[in-house]
Parts: sequence; structure tokens; C-alpha cells
Amino acid sequence: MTEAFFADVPFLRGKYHKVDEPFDSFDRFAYHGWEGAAGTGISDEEMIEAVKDVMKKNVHRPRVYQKALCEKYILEHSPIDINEHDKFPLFYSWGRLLRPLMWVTWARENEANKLSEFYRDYRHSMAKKGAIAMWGDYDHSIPDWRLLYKVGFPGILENVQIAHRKAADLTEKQEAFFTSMEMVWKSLIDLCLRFAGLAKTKGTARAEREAESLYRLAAGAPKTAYDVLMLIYLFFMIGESVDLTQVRSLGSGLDHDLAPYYEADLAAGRTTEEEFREDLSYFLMQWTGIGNYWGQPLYLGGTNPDGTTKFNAVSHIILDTYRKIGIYNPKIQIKVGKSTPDSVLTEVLDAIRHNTSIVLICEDNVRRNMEKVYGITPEEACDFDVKGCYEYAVRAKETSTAPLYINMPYGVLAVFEDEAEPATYEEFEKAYFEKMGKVYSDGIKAIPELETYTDEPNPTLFYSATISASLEKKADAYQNGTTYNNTSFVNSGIGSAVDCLCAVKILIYDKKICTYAEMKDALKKNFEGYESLRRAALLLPEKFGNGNPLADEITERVADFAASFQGTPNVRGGFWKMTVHSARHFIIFGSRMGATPDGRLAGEETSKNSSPVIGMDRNGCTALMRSVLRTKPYRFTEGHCLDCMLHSTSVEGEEGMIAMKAMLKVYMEGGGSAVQFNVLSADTLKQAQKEPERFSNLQIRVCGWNVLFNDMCKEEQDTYILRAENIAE
Amino acid sequence: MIAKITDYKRFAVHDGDGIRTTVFFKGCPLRCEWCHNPETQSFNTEMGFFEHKCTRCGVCASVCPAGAQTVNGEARKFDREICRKCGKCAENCLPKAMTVWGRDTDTEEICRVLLEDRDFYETSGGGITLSGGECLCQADACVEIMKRMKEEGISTAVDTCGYVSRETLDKVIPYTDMFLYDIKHLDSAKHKEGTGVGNERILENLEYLAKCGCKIEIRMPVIPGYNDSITEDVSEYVASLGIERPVKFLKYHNLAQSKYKALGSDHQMPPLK
Ligand code: SF4
Ligand code: SF4
Repeated sequence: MTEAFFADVPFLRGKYHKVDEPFDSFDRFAYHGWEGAAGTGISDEEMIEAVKDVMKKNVHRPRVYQKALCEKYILEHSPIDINEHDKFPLFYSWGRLLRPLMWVTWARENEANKLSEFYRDYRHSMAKKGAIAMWGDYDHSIPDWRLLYKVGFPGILENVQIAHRKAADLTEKQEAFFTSMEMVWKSLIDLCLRFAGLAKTKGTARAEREAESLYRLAAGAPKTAYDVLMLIYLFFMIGESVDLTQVRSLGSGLDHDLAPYYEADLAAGRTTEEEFREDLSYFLMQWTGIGNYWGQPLYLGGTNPDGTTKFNAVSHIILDTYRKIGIYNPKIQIKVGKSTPDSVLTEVLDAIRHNTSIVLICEDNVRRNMEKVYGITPEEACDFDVKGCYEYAVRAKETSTAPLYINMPYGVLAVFEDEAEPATYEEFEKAYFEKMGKVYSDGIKAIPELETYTDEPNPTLFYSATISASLEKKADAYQNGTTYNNTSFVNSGIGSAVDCLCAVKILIYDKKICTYAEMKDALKKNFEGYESLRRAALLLPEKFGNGNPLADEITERVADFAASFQGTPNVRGGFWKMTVHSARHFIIFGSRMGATPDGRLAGEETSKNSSPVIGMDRNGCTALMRSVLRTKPYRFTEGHCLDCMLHSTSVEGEEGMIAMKAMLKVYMEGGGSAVQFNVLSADTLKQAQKEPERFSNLQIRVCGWNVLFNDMCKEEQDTYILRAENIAE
Repeated sequence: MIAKITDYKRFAVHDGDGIRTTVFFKGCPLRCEWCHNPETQSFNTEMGFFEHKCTRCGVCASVCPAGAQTVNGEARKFDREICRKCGKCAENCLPKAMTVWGRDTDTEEICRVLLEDRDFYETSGGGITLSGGECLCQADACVEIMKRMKEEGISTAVDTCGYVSRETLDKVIPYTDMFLYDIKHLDSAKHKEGTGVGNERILENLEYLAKCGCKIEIRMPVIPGYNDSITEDVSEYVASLGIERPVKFLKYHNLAQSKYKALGSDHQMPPLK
């Protein structure tokens, strides 16, 4: 990469928040940005007052219209800048300041006025018990990028106008929906002109190029690869930080999307590979600067409908540039499968073993399953979007929300809460499934109340306008405006659930180490006075993720049970999907749950994603992979990811490469969905704990989440060290 | 048939081709100064006590039938003299501060474990490796295991120091796809100095295996100041036997020192330099 770029890295890192000031990367939309060019906009305080004022004056109008007026105001009055150290404009994220004013307030009003007692009770009492967590979800959406490239911002505006003109008999809300979209898209185009005008005053070649690109985007479709990057960046910033909807992938396969533009640029002599790499570097660095905990994904690779690979010259350039600039956010997902050339696989796995952040998507399995579940064509299936860490969607046709997190071990404690004592383990397990069944079915009953009004707390004006079906249906894309308006359960803690059931079976029913009543008492007393029972529970070999036959059988039944709720119709005309992961809910659920039969104490975290309970993966990655495959990951339509820790010495050299390829192949052929290899050694981690300064870039990747090791608290760090110690050298 | 083994290692990628599961047999006729598996040297079951992992919880003392464990606050004693090696303490020790090294295990059970990862062997061109200790000191068990593996179509490897009888070799040759064969020194006196035995039989056996057309990978632990100056000679010698695979030089490390301590031994591994 060019020296100029590296010289600009400090600026880019500080673009969205001051690096030396505390920044809570877990706080949604916390990145902000500051110091726009003098006279280009108003202060935060002024903006808040102005937005409040707009809302007050228009309180009688549909919310979508109120929001549009606010967005227009923000786009017109936000401070901006064109900086010599950057190739992309500066725009504030207003999310942190706006969310409480609109989304949060409106969601509360909705809950108070429109939701039933049943809903409120389910939401609050079950959350308190640590059984569930729920909220209105506006994450995991991806605009129709390809349409955006084809028609540009003005083309989208025109589409909205045409749809508006053609539509007859509009309700007040629908009328407002169209008027609002027209208003904000016009403002976006004006913003491009505002940026361009400022760039023009700078007088540098770089700013001149920026101005030209912005003028082109204000006038029509992007013409160059740089234009496409500019468009993606602008849509991301406006979508996330003004419209408050996550823009969950940068392009629909960034390599695939950029390639024709890059080739045309080269042919016309408009750019060089060197310049393209530099453009990419500045582009990617934006998300390093933003620095959210959950990271910004983009995906590469895949297969064409004719069976050939989608990997192209641009895939290599992106991957190589990413490695060279040594960042971990954005994070890259790579669709790998039968069509992936061996040389590409080598390149990708080599990047992984050198600590590059990559999630591998077993695309053949995902594709085939989507064809079956959605009834889509193979062409559409090939084009599936990765709309989160490893969540999948039909490109440009699906919005699936994730409003409900479920804590899988909860049912075990619920059974112990009952008076009745199950006579056999089979009865216990049946009772567990009944309890969990109620959690799922009550969720399926409660969520529709919330999702009848998905477009109320947070109408989405930028995202919806790019979705053709949304314009046709005259409905917000988050409501029922897409073709597939799905909803998903997020299943957390499968490892803990399985361990609890195993412990109940062995300790109470098979080996009779304690009676049912004793276990019940022990759980109530958080194992106080039952230390040896707790030790017996912890020492059991029957644990999730170890290739243990009993644990694996139970795993299969628990996974089958959860999966059986998939496909149930939701209220938005779609169906329920499911994913096995936990984000940070393994900590939250754990903190609300009492002691569990697997020896876990009250308040301790549960298992994360599809990983074993910390310290309980004793048989290494092959056993873990075998056990996890018993859940049939491919069938979880909303996604599933295996987090596989490998010791650095076991992936070294030619032998290590062969081993990594074999691991991936077994996982793909066994029905895997996504896998993330984390290559590290306990020694390195310990060292990093001791000398944080020297390891400021060491990152830990778990199922799509990347965290800097040094950002974790001591307990979290210890947990990872423990896991790393358990992996064989 | 019963074999005495200490452990398995799954996802072993440096014990032959591909991904393998390695079984460690207990007992070895050599006593290499630098041995990094000291728990496999003795043919008898041994107890390992990792004092730094011990939380002084006292459970071992409460379950020990021999009174060999004393836990009194920070004061902690493990009396090897009276220990009966029943393993009860290890079974109950949560942080795994107590370990049993050397369990009599049915070859059936060993085969069951080895077969678990067959998918990984198949996709990586891997298989199973018998190691140790010196696995060939329990040659009948090795034959039994490898026979079964061959029936299942799984590739086998034997990791040996070569200090065994010709008969033993003849027994295992038909079932062994590859020998991982150690050379420590070409000079017999030096060999004796480092390992306790001369190298005549070892080199004779190697020549025999080579003549039989067995697939062989020579491995040499490179010990600073002991054999680091003869690596080229070893390569030449190996090539002269018609063995095509290049010698695999294993970098010495002394990370096993804590295992010596756990065995109650004060043996000092050679320094790194
Ligand atoms: S059981 Fe283990 S941890 Fe507890 S005192 Fe004995 S050796 Fe130490
Ligand atoms: S192995 Fe048995 S006899 Fe020896 S210390 Fe442990 S419990 Fe006591």
C-alpha cells in the first residue's frame, strides 16, 4: 500500500471518534464524528432542538412523515468536511442522538398503547427469568445494491416518484410513505452536491476527483469503481446513522460488484491497480474508524449459476489489500464451496492462519437449503446475501427481523420449578421440551403484536426505496414490503442446555448420585453445601461438543426441537427462521439465571453460539466439529456458525494447510453452514494480557464477532485463555 | 487385548501425513535426556501431580484410600511411596492437578476412539499413529489395532525409536503404512550418552526396513550442543538408504520440564542453547 495511505491512517482512525478518549464500542451508533468544516452545519445541541421542534410541530402527521422532515433537516444542516487525509467525505453519525428522540420514544408509545397485557407480560416476566429477550429489530438489512449501481440515487428517486404516480387509492400513511421517501432522497442528492461543492473549494487533485464522483452520483448512476465505493459509503452512512437501519453488507459480493467497473476503468485508462488498491484501502478504513464491536461485514466469492466460481481478480485484490493494511473491521466473509479453486482456498486459509478476520460460508449447503425452503430458482439462490455475521437472505427480496432471543437452558430450570418430579429421564426431557415449547409458541404469539407495527417506531425511508417490492406493495420494507418478510428466533446456549440435560440424566436417573429433590435443593442453594455434587457435574464427560455419544444424541434432539418451529407463518406474510448464536446474550441470560445442573453457578455465563461451555471442550476441534454437525447447521435458515479454535502450531506449514483444508471440507460435506477458525495459542494470549501495549492489535474472533483482545475485561480474557489452553498443540 | 497407554492426541498434524489421531503407549527402553514425554518412559502406571494447578480443595485427601494426599491449608503433600495408583484422586480433581499416566485399555476401546475422526483422515489423507513411549514394546496390541484399522481402510503409522527386535518389526511391517523413525545420533557412544543405549540395533533395523521397501520418515530431534552439528550427515546417511522423504528435523523445546516435576523427578532437561 502507498505511503500516503499509511500516513493518513491516524486521521482515518480518528475520523469517527477520538481514539484517545473513551469510546464504548458496544453502544449502538456511538460513533459520531466531529469538526466538520467551519460554517457547514450546526452543533449537536442545535440539531437536537431543531429535530424536537420539527417533531412537535408535526406531531399530528404520520410518523414516517415526521421522520422524513427530521432527516431532511439533518441532511441539510449536518456539518460536513472534505479532508486532505481522506478519499471519502465526512458525515456525522446522528444515530446516538436521534434514536431516543424518535425510535425509542415511538416504540414506548406503541408498547403502551397498542400491545396487549399478554405481550407485556411475556416480554417482561420472561426476560426477568432469563428465558428470553425481545425488541423491535431493524438490523440485518441490505439494500438492493445492484439496483443502486444501475440507476444511482436519482434513479431510485425517480422509481419512487413513478410508483407514487401510478399508485391509486393511497391511505394517508401510504401517501406519507411515498412523499417522505421523495423528500429524503432529494435531500440525499442535495447532500452529494453540498459535498461536491465543498470539495471544489479545496483545490487538490484528490478533492477534485472526489467532487467529480459526487457530481456524478448526484446526476445519475455510478460510472467508475471509485463511484461505486462512494455510493456504498454514502448509503451506509445515511442508512445507518440517519435512517437508523443497519446496512449489513458493503455490496452484494463486493468483488463481484466492483469487477466490471474496475475492468472498464482499466480499459479506459481511468485508473491503475495501484490507485484502485488505494481507493479500497481508504474505503475499508472507514469501518475501522467507526469501530463498532459487532463489526461491519462484506462478503466475497461464491458460485455462478453455471457452476463456475465468482472469485475474480478483484477478490484477490480486496483480500490482499485487506491483509496488507492489517485491519479487522470491516470483517470479511467468504463463500466457499465446490466451485472454489484450490489456489483460492489456499490464499484464504493462509490469510486466516495469519490472523486475518474471515468467516467461511459453506455456500453449497446454504444455497441448496434456500432453494428448498424458499422455492427460489438456482440463480437467485446463488445470489444469496450474507446480511450479518452469517445470516442469509434472498438478495433484494427479503427482510428478516430478529426480535426474539431464546435462552435454551432456561427450560431445565423451569422443570425444576414445578412441584411434580419426573419419574424417569425421558419424562424430564419431555417436560423440558414442553417448557421450551411454551417459550417458543408464546414468542410466536407475542411477536406479531410488535411486528404488526414494525413500520411505526422506525419507518425506513432509504432502505425501502431501493426495494422494488416495497414500492409495488406501498409498504415499508420492514413491515411487509419485501417478497420474503421473515422473522427469526435467535437460539442462545445450546451447549449449556445439552450439558444440563446430560447432568440430569446421569446424576439423578442413571447413576443416582443425587436424588431429584437434592438436585432441586442444590440449585436453589447455588450448590452451597453440595460442593461434591457440583464437582461431579462439572467432571462428567457427557458434555456438548466433545463427540460424546449421549451428549450428541441429546444435542440432536434439542436442535431438532428448535428447528421444528421454523417455517411457522409470521404476521408480516412471511415465516419464522432460526439461528443458533448468542451475540452477547450468553452473558445477559446467564446473569439472570440461577445455578444449573451442569454445575454452573447462578449468574455465570452460559455457552456461547454453538461452542461448548467454557472449559468443557476437552476433545479438540475434530470432536467439536462432529458434535456440532449433529445439529445439522445448514437447516438453520437464518444462520449458524461454528467457532473453531486452532493452535497456531497445528496450522503451520504445508501440513497445517492440508489440515485446515480437511477441516473445512469435512464441515462442508457434513452439512455445515459457517465456520470461523481462530488461530491462537494460550501463551500469546497470556502475553497479551500482561503486555497490552505490545498486542494492541490482537483480535479474537468468535462466530463473526471480532474483538480486540485488550478490549475484553479480565474475566472474558481469562475465559479465552482457558479455551486456548484446552486446545491441543 | 490390553495395552497400557497414557493418552490420545486428536488433530495431530505433525505425526505423519494429514490429520491423525495419535495413541501414546506407556514404556520406553530409552532414556533420552531431552525426552518431552517423560510420562511415557516407565512401563508402570504413574501419578502426575501438577502443583501449580492445585487449588488445595482437599477432595483428593478425602477420597484417597491410602492416605497419600495431605491438604492442610497451603501445606500440600503427595506421598508417592504409599500411593496405590488407584486414580480416585484424579477422577475427582476438577482442575486436573492429579493425573493418571498409564491406563490398561482394551484395544477395542482404543480402536473405537481412533475411528471417531475417520472423516478427517479421509479428507486429509491422514490416519492413525501409534507412538509413545515405544509402542512396539507392546507390539501385539499394535498389530491388533492396526489390523482393525486396515479392515476399515484407515492408514496407519508407527512412531518408533527402533530399539526393538527384528521379530517385532516383522510382526508389524504388514500392517504399517509408514514408519516415523527416530535418529538421535550416528555415533554409537554419543548415542549411548544421550539415550542410555548404543545405536547399532537401531541403525540395523532402519536399514532392514528400508530394504523391505517400507515407507519411512526419519525424524531427528535437534538438541543444541548434542547433535545439531550432524544434521547434514544424517540427511546423507538417510538418502544413502534410498529413503526419499527428507529428514524431518524437530526443533527442541523444554516445555516438558513441568511434566518431570509432576512425576516427582528432578531431571533437568538440556537448556535451549
Ligand atoms: S483434588 Fe486436585 S485441586 Fe483439590 S487438593 Fe487435590 S490435587 Fe489439589
Ligand atoms: S492414586 Fe489413589 S492411592 Fe494414589 S493418591 Fe490418588 S487416590 Fe490416593
